[in-house]
Amino acid sequence: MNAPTRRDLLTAAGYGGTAMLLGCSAGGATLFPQRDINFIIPFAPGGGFDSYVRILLEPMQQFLPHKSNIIPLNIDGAGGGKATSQLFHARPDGYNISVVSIPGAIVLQMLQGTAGYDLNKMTWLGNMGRDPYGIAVGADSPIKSVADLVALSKKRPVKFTSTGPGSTGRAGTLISTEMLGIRSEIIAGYKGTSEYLVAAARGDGDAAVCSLTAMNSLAKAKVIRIIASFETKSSIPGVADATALGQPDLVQISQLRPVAAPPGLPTHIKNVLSTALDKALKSPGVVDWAQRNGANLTSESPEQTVQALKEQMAFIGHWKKVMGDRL
Amino acid sequence: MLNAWLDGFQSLLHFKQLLFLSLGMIMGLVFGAVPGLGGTTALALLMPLTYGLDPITALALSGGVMGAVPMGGSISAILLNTPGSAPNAATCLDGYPLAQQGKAGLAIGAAASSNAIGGLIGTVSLLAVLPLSKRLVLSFGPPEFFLLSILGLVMVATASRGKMLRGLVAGGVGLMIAFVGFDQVTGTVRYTFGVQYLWDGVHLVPALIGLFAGAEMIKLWMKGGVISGSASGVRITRLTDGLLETFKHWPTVLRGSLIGTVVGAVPGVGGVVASFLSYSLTVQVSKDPDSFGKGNIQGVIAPEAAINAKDSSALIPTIAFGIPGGAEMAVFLGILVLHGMQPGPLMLINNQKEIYGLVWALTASCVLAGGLGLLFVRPLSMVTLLPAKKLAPVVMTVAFIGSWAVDQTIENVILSGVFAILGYAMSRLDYPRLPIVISLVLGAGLERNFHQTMSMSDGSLAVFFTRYICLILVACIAGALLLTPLRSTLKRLFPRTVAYPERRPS
Repeated sequence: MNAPTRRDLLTAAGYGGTAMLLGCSAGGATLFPQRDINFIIPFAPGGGFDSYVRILLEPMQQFLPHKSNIIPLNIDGAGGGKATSQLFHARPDGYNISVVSIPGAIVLQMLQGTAGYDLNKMTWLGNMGRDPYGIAVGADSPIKSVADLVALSKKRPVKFTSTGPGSTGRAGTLISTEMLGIRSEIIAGYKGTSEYLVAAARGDGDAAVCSLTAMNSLAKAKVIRIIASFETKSSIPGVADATALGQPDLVQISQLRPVAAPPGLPTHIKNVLSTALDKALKSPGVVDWAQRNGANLTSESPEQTVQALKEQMAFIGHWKKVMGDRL
Repeated sequence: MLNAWLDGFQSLLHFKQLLFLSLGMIMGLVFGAVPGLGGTTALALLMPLTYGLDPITALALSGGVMGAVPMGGSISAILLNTPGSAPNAATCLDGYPLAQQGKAGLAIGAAASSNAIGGLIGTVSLLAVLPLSKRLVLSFGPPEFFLLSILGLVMVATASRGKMLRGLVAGGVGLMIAFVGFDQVTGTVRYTFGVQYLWDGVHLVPALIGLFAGAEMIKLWMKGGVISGSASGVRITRLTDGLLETFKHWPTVLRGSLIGTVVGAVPGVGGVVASFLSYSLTVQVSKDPDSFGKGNIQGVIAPEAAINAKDSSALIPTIAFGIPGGAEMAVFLGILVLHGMQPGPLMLINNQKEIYGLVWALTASCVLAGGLGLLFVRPLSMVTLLPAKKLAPVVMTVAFIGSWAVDQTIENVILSGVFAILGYAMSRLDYPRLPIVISLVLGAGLERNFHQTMSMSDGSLAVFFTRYICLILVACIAGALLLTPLRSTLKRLFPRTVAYPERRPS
């Protein structure tokens, strides 16, 4: 028997080291989770984000390899920025994850720099779906179409009700009106989409831009009227879509609900969490609930999510350059 | 509508629904009585647990909680000068002096009955207002909200009787504190000193816990002794007197209930405005306004009737438009969505049975919580006889845990500590604390609504005088400001020949 050469020893050490690393990794995967996981919701209880997360908790728990609770944790404040910042600085151990409001978080990051958080460094676990946006006016409004808004804006700025700076609603309003050539003025500070839609219906402003999901109930009750949909092909009969309006990029204006973990989350933990999220989003109970409530709860993989975020960042970045501090 | 009303009632008449209603009621009483917990925390904790329940049972549970919280809150306000929730702050004004005089039973009895009657009147009013809900919600825009906030601030005058200048100083400080944080209109971050916790402003509940529970316990601990003057002074037998007092002062109950109903139906205004408006108006129309703040039973009845009446009508903006009237209603909104009910005008048509079931649950909880509260008045009133050196640390610990529980952050506890010191200093220097509360509650909304009004009107103030509701509110503000000096002038010009009844001992 020949004595082992230096090359043999190095090869053995290499294999052994790799096996050890794999072993640790596999061991880690089987060990996680060992305790409760916080699912951070960046807004107060009761809103769309809150409901969507809460409906996912139970099915998501079932798809974890070890029995652990997923606890909802509402961290409201600064248009969702407080929660995102807290998540960014949390330990990357998988016990803190959060849904993030996009494009609101992108706008906040552009406004305030990366002191609070850097979305490019976050670990993305998947996306809970996206809601296309549109334009609505009060049911009794004389405005019937986008052309009417353009015509009105030639006489005076069209007033849009919306939420505060850094919010998805405000960013969507400013970008879409710029794309459509509508001179706009924002009446800001409403606390949520329902509030600013009702404000538009009341006559505080001329119109409002928000997600079609939020508009549906009020439109069916004839409190508001939807005059534009930012979908490629409108899902609402008789309502002009992005194609008809000659602005196909309006499709980019939509509400995304990606789920993130802190930067540097080990891959095996990321896989556990993103698999559980994906399976929960596809579970019959969640699908049924989403259908009953007209909610867009669909699953996108981490790779699709990162791609969607890149597109959103490029889109918002472009409009930030065009609009400067107005955005 | 009557059929739906009866269907809703019948849907509750099952063992399971009644059981969950009772559970909710007990939870509401306990959470209401512990400063910082309140209905919002109770509902947020219950939300995931309701997932496995059918919608009617979940609503019975929620209604039980929401109906009972005000009663729980009034107990701690009366016994410890510590409101369980913000709207109960007005109850402290006369409730605590009554407890100090050994009349805690009288005050709690009156609070229980006015709560129950207020809840009943609120429900009946809700029936009347429901068909007009769409018009009502669409009638109140930023100019009306702004004037309503101003009317609230005018109440600072009532909350500072005899200490007007100090009250104004406290109110001004409160307004400044209310402007801390991320401005939702301009996007600027103000006075946060780089502390991220303050981005969302000074959190109301931890601040209130410090200002009342913290300050009061420091005061009590420093002073020693017991809250009530003497053991023999705690007259629990006055409980029935308390119940009867409510019926004796039926105009106060009626006025409070109507104020609660109207204010509750206006989204975003909340119970604090309802309770202080009711209290303020009762003082204004009283023949003996000087007796308020020293233990006048009407000072307990007026806010308590308004708080429970408000709970029913606050369902209108929540259900009809998905706009929660406050934090508690926001969580409740989440429960509705979880159970497949989409708040919006269509819910008033599609889910009538559930809505009326909820209203019944809320009403039943108001009435029954009053009864349950009365059962425990005797042991609870004994709290006023506990030695301060033992009571203060326990209450302080519970209150600070409550502060932490709001959103599980240690910063809340620190904030409560800061406000406890502020509250204690104010108490020592004889500055009223309630103007700070009113300013804290109304400040941010006041500024936001003013900005929005100016955006709507292109900077013209004429908007406040060209809308009907604005004109009514301007008249109310003028009336509230002028009534007291007018009465003083009339009193000076035409001195009364009939003496006032003897004032209660303070």
